[in-house]
Amino acid sequence: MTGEVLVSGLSVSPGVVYGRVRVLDTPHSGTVSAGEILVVPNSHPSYAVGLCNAAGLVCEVGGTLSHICIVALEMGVPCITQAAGAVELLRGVEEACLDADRGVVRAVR
Amino acid sequence: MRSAEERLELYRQSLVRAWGHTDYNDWPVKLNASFHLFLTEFGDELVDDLRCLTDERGWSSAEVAALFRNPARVYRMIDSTVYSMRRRGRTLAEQRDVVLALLDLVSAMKHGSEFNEDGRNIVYGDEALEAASRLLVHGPLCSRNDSVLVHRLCGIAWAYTESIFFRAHDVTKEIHGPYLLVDGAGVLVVKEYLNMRPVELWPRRRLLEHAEVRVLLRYREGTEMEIDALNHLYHRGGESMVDQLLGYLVEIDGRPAEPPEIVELIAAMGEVIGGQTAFVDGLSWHEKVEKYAEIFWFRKAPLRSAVGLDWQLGPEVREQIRRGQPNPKRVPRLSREEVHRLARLTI
Repeated sequence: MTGEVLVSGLSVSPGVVYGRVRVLDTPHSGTVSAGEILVVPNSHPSYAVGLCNAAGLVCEVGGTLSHICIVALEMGVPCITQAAGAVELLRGVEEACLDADRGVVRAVR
Repeated sequence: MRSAEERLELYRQSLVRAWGHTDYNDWPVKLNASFHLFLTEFGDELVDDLRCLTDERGWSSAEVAALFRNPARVYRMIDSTVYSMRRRGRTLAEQRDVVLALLDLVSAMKHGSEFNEDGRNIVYGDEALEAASRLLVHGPLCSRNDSVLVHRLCGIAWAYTESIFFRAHDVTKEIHGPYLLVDGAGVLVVKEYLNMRPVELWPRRRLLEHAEVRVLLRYREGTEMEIDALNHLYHRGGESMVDQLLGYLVEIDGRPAEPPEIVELIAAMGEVIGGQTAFVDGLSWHEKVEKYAEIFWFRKAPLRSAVGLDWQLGPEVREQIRRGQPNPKRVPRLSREEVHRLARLTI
């Protein structure tokens, strides 16, 4: 069951996924486990390594052609961008649903 | 045959289209804020070398184009060259002549329009397309796991190119197609990564062991995608490309690779990206800009080498970078309207 919208943004790569939330607020600050929804503040290329394992990507800033979005699109990983405040809003959230078709992250009940 | 005016207008439109998606890419530095420290000289040399080969030595556009491996590499140098000529106060007519000459090179490397205005980047001619099709059409259908794997490879390869060439990653790759395969066999997209091991720029130990990777992807007929003139791939359908893949072939240094080798390649690229980005993040602003300039010089190296000169970044430009500061006017991100106006201003 999904609940309220936690974050909204611009859809880049379609798909709906559920997973644990992994916030990496600085580059090189951690790893991503399989199936996690990766939340990043910008398009730093090191985040692409974590994206290999991620089920979805939420990026705070950048257009649909910002580089991390291109990488998500290339990988076929559901992705939204311009998700203002995502890093703070999703910090501490354990699980979520990324609905990249609609450009939102929802709480999971 | 298009007129010069039509070609220039199509060039402007291609910039508006690609830049219109708002450019927030500022790793490792905001490139626009450092252009003034090296791009003028970059354009000077490029124009001199191009004129030397074509005007003085009589090379044809096709002969000059053959120095480069991929059209996007030339196309993406055009706006940098215009920037340089504007800073030098060259006349609009001179700027346009150079743009048209560079577009001629792009055109000579492609079998489709140099502007991809139909959403297709057609690099292969009939013979090359047939050869690529033969490799794919009669192969087995790929599983979803294989599709995930090969798309993951494409994504990590993209990031790898950025980690070693920053925003000048066109030096290393061309994404082309979609080509329509015969008898409804689907559509073909080719992703070529050409300079994966630029030992001229980085220590060998920090690079991938392989120099080239080619990925052939056969998608279902009707899969909606477009490639713009700056080599951006857009997926138009509402479904993931992973679910549309019918078959693929990955070649590493010209040799077909099986899934275990692809897994190894992805891991190797991830390691390089981690090490390379950490190293670059540790550089000072001036060191990053100097490295950027080296990459730009590498980008145009085939021209300079053909003229018979050393292609490396010269000491004067290095000194200029070391003494320089970011241009404060170009530090803020541009609004969508400003990006559009900038693209319209170009030539």
